[in-house]
Amino acid sequence: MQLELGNILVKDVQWGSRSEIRKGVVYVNRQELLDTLKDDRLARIDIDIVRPGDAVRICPVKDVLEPRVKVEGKGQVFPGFFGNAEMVGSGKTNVLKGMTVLTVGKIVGFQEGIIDMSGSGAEYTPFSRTINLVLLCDQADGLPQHEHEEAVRMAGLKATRYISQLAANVTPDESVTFATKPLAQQMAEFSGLPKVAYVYMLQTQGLMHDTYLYGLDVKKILPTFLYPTEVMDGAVISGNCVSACDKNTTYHHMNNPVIADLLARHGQDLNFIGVVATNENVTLLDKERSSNFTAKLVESLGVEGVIISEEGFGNPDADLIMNCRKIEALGIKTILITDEYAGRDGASQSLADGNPLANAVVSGGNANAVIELPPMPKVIGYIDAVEIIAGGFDGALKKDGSITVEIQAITGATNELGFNRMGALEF
Amino acid sequence: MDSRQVLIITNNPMVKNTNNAEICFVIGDCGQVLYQVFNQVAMGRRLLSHPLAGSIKFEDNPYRSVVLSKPETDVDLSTLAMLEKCLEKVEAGVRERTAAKGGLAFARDFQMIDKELLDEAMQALGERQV
Repeated sequence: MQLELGNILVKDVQWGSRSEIRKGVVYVNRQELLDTLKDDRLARIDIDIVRPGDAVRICPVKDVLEPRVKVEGKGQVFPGFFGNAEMVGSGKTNVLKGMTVLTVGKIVGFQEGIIDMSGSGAEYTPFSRTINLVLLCDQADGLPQHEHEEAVRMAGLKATRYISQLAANVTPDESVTFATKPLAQQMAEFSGLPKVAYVYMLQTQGLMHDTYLYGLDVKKILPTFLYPTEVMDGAVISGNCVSACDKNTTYHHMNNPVIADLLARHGQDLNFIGVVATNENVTLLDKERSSNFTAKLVESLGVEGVIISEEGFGNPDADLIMNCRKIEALGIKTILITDEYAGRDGASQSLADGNPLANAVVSGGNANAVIELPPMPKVIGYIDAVEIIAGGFDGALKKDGSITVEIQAITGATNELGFNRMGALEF
Repeated sequence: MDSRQVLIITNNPMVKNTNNAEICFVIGDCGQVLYQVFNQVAMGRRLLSHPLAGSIKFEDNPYRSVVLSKPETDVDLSTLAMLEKCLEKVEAGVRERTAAKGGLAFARDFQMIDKELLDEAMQALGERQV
């Protein structure tokens, strides 16, 4: 399966009398976009444009998406939500690089997700460096939380699709091609290079904790095989809006750096066989079943090593360790990517589970680390949630608008795909 | 599975009267719920749902519901070891409690999320024999 991503480098996003892209500037007819998003479940949708360096705080962020559109090949971006769930990941896809569609919605009171476009907090989130089209979505009176979540999720998908279609006939500024072959052919390639797969754990525990694959709720799947490029066409989308620092937004999925880096080294110093998508369930039997199937699938791929990325924390730590333990027992090396809840001093136990076989672990950072965020003149959303959200605490929001929080409140701060801005300089 | 064959240990008022299952209602925090779970596993019950929530901090979320099987004849020592690790995490978190007042202010939302997780577990368990 071969996919060419054509990046259109976005210089700015502005309101315009008609929606179009000219000389790298995305012009949006605000009313036309609002009409596209009309949904009786949402009492109000407000749209704003924010840019890197703006004195703006956005909270609570639900999802972040990147506009992409198929220009050649089968299917549509976000398959299963649009179209008939045709297989994606081949042909050509245009990408509006440097901008996002970002949804804000207060679905439950303790919901988290801060993005500061400037100041100290901006250093912890990748979305302070993108131009963001922000959708603030308030629910209609009496709307159940399930439906509010779905309405905001669909608003994000529809707005992203609307913007992306403007890029269908634009010549990209740069393009890059990714390719992997069907299993038997891929196994035969690159003799002498180690064969590697990627185990992609997805948060799937119910309301506010869900992820979708080709439109299907991932808690209902058995672990399954994906070509790496399917993910780049929006095969995986996020319905997960808890734990801002280590949830994977849809943008993270589309730009998964584990997949990107494995493909960059594909044929150079490893043979990237493919992706095993799996879930993180609630019952222990479901966890056992999924990890058993994951290990079986990895074994059947004939690989010598896997990278496993977790999403979230708490009971998913058990899934991470089960996957590690069962794959290592087959003689296949594992490298885990997670983050830590090691207390504010970083001295406590980092994960809720562990095993001596988990001896190669990459950390996205300590989510309990505390940061001071300066006051911001403009807030999009509901900042009163800061004292409630994970990582906020009593007295966190001061009268001058400054905030003391753990970095777990910041969207993407300790991302477990490695899509974050922190790293160790020495250890 | 017949839901009457399981025990739910909970401190969530929204769960207290909503299931046919046997309910052990704990007046206390999540740590107290886990101590009761530990006691019941030590008496031979099997853990059916994971004792920790997913992606919600133990010390911030005031409510937790855990599902156990009917008593077996032997004790599952590996589960007791896992519960010890979970209790260690919860106790470490309590020392750095953050959103105590916030948690209470949004009690219904926390209760609803805990009940959602429990319902997911009960639905999954209902589709099988134990």
